[in-house]
This record gives sequence, structure tokens and C-alpha cells, in this order.
Amino acid sequence: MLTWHIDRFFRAGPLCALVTLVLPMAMAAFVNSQSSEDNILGILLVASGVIFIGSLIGSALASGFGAVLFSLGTTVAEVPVLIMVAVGISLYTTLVIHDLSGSFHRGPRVARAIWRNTSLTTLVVTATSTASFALVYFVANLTTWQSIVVPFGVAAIGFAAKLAADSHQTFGRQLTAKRRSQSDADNPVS
Amino acid sequence: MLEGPSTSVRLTGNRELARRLPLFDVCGLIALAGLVTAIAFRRPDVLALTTPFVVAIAAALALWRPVDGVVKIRADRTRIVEGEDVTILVDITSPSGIGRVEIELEPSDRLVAVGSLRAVTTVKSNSTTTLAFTVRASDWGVAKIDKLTVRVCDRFAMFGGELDARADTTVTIGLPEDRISASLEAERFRSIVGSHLSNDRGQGMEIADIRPFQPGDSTRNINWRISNRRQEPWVTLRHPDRSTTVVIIVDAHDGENDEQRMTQRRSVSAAMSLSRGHLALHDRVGLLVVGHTVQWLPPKLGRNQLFQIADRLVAVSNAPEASRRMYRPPAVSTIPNNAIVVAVSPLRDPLMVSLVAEIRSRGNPVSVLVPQTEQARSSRRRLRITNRTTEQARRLAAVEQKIGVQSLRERGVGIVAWAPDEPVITVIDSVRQLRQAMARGRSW
Repeated sequence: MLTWHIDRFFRAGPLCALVTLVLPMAMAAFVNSQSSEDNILGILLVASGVIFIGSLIGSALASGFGAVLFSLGTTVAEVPVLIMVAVGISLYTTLVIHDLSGSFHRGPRVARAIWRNTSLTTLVVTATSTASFALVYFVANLTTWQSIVVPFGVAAIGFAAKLAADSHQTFGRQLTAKRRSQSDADNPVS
Repeated sequence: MLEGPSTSVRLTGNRELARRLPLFDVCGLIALAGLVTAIAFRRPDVLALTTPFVVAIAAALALWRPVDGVVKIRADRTRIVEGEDVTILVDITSPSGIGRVEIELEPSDRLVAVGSLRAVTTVKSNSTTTLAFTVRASDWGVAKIDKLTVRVCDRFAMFGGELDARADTTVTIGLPEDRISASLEAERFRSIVGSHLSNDRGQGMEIADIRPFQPGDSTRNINWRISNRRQEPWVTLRHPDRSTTVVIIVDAHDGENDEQRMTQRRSVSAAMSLSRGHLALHDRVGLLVVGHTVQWLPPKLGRNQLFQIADRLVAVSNAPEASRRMYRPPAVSTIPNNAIVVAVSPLRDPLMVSLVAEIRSRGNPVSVLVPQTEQARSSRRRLRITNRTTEQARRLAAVEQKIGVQSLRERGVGIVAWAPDEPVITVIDSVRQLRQAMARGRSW
């Protein structure tokens, strides 16, 4: 009986769910050790618990909320940028493992290629995101804040205008089509 | 081993498999929240927390392709016996590859999982991945895979979906050999059932008569010992060996409770034993199944007939939800006049009793095997936990059965009671003795 319980516990699904608790808790301890702010560890541990609960119940939204809470705590902690990069990568990895734990429930047979592909994908995303952030951070520190925000603002205004024009055009076509069908009904012989 | 037909599930063009998964929404929300926070609070370092999610979403959108592939499910064998394992094979083929595929099987009650019936794998482009699942036959009958669930997603787990399909893969589960009868070689069966002697005289093994030699007799038939004693040639006449026609009637009454299912099982095992033995003796064997279904198999010879009989008998286990009582075969006259009829029935239903009586009235020699149950034998020791109405109904049914049995005996039908712990060979021997006794004392 004991071996049955041990076997069920060490199946891929429960193990993955356990990792979604252990990994954020480890990062929480690390962030707390590097931060001088008070009450950070509590926020981060609560966020870790929320992520773990999300893994147990199979809710990506719950785990996502936990990740947002963890990010908020890390932001408040005022830690160096490199640590924030590490936290971001660990949060993404945690959500990936959360997704795997959902696939692995009820002890399926898991092909080795799944682990290989997931590891490879996560590594590529990690490397790409690190390089991308390095570039963005470098550019952001070189330029003024307005030179970053203004283009985004202009693009947003232009996109909103385009959406409004498309909506107006679609609505006009609908109205025209309706009037044409009614006029045909009124004058069947033409 | 004959592989069964396969069921194909097409994945290409299925919109259920091109949905946005929750992880995409979560990553999107986190990315958006980080971006807004970074801009609002003028803190580009916040982007460090959300960049992996932005990159993942961008990569998933850029690399997404519609799911393209086919899933085929088949069994490695279509015919097994109780207790044997059968392997269900699932082939997943995709020209463009699938990041992650989850396959889950849900078999019918007659199949028990050996190991997990779920598997997670990946499919490379232009290749086929085969998954094998093992199930064990726990009960006789026709079993199938009730449901096949396929879940797919891309390698980022952002797009995918799930679909359920019903598989037409069926497996016929027969009764195990040791219960049907281990001793079904022709000679041993012959020693139990006996040979079928024709009233004619000709070439055979059984001595019919010994008389003086007459012109036209073959010199090979001269009995030299008697001829020496009588000082004149005498010949031995023998019965020619002839095959006969046997029709087995199986009462497939409802198999709802355990007692009825056990009786049904014993009836089928006895019918299978009789069929196999008589076919081994080159008799023509036919099958008539009455009860919740009516099936008629005309008497034929050969191994193929045995398979046909086995298939019909196994199908008896699939009782419909609504109880139907059909004891009227298409035409009783289809039963050959010279056929020996052996019915296996508990004779609980008056319709079955009337059917047997009608067949007997046509002149066919009829024997009935009546499987008894533990409940009938130990009725006195049974705890009285049923209500009065049920008890009275049970007594009424028992009286009706006795009346039916008596009426059949009066018509010359041989009734053989079959105790639960009695092997089927003994019962077949009892049937043989009864038929011989009936033949000696018959009045038709």
C-alpha cells in the first residue's frame, strides 16, 4: 500500500504540481534576501501558494493571478534588474510546468520527447527574452521617456482611428444592403 | 491473429482543435499588465518580469499552423477468450507534426485496463507515432472502446483543443477453454454422447445382425468363427455410421441480475460445448437463440459453423436495455424433422415451455438442460430480507416452472437438471443416457 502511495506521489503530474510550489518559494526566498524592503517575503509566499493552488485545481487563471501577484511583490522589492530577469524566467517556467501537470494527471505514459521539446522550447524562450530585454533596457536608458511613449501613443491613436473607420464602413454597408432589399420588396416589377 | 477494422478520426480542418488555450490568455494578461505598469510608472526594469511571456506569445502566434493529421485506432485481435489481454493500437499521423498529443481511451465494462489508458506524446512531421494500450477481458461478450479522447496543442501550449470520438473497434470475448470443456476431442466426446446409429445396415463399426450367407453378400463380411462352428458361411451385418442433425436452442433470457447472468453464462457454455463436440463428430449443428433476441443458424458442418455459433452465442451477452421477450422463431418448421433438439433453458418463461412443446409435437426428440442456481437450491437457508410481494412472486414463478416442466415430461421431453457445481461433461452424459432411455421406451 505504501509503495502505491509513493508511486502515485512520484508520478509526473503530482511532481510537476509540487515544482510549481517549490520553484516560486525558492525565488521568493532569493528575492527577499536581496531586498531591503519589509514584508516582501509574505507577499511572495502568498503568491507562491496561489500558483500552487492553481496547479492543484487545474486553473491557469489562478496560477496567472499568482504570477501577477509575485511580479507585483518583486517590483515593490526594488531588487536589481538581473534578479528581476531571473524572476520573470522562473515565473514563465512555473506556468509551463503548471500546464504540464495538467496534462500529466491520472498518470499517463509520457514520451521522452515531451520533456525534451518542453525543455528546448523553454530554453529558447528564456534566451530570446533575455536578449530582447537587454536590448530594450539598453535603448530605454539611452533615450528619454517621451521618445518611447510618444510613438506608442501615436500608434495607439492611429490604430483606434482605423478601427473606428472600419466599423463605420461596415455599418454603412449593412444599412445600404437593408434599404436595397426593402425597395425590391416594395417594387417587385422593375 | 486477425487484426480488426480500424476507426479513423480526422484532425485536419477541425475547428475544435484550433482554439486559444488558457495559457495564452494568462500570458497575454501578464504581458499587458507589465507593459502598462512599465509605461505608467516609468520603470523599464519591470519589463524584465514580462518579457518571457511577450516572447512566448509572439513565437506562438508566428509559428502556429492548423492541426493536420489522422488518428487511427485498432485492436491487434478481434477474438479472444476471457482473461486474455488484447492490445489496442493508436496510430497518429501528421504531415506537419503536432507539438503535444494526449490520447485517452475509455473501454466498455468488459475490458479492464492493464496499466494506464492515457498517453502523452509528440508527433514529428511526416511521421506516424504508435501508442499501444493493453486491456484485459474480464467478462464474456462483445466489448468495444466506448470513447477515444484526443487533446492536441502546439509546443508553446497556447493553441489547441480536444475532441471525443466513438470507436467502432469491437472485440469478441468468448468463454475460456477450460470452462467450455477440455475434453472435446472427437473420440472422448463420442464416448460420452455415443455414436449416431442409423437403422440401416451397411458398412460401419456396430454389429446390427448375424445371418447365413446369401448370394450377393460380400465375402469380407463372413464371420469365420461362427461359420466354423456352424459349418456353413455366416455373415456379420453392421450399422452404417451416419452423421445426424442437432439443433441447440439457447434461452437468452434477460441478464440483469447476477443470478440471471450466471445462468446465461452456463447456458452459453453448455451450448458451445455441445456444438463443438457434435461438429467434431461431423454432425450438422444448428443454433436457435430465443429470449431477448431471436437468431437462427441453419444446421451446417465444419469449423466455420463453429465460429458462427460462437459469434451468435457471444452476442447473447448484450442484453438490450428494454426487456423484450421473443420466443417465436421465424418458423418452427425450419427445424429439420430428423433433428435432435437440445434446449438449454431454466424454463422460467411459459413462452419457452410452449416453444419446446411445439417442437416436440412435430416429432423431434427433445431434451432440455435446466441450469439450476444457488438461490433455488438454498432457498430454505436464504435470509428473508425481501418483501412479501417479491417472495410471493418468486413462489408463483417456481410453481409455474414446475407445471411447465411436468407438462413437457408428459409430452416425452427429457428434462435434465444441471446443478451449479456440476461439470458440463457430466450433464452431457446425462442427456445421452436420457435420450437412450427415451429411444428404448418411446411410443412414437
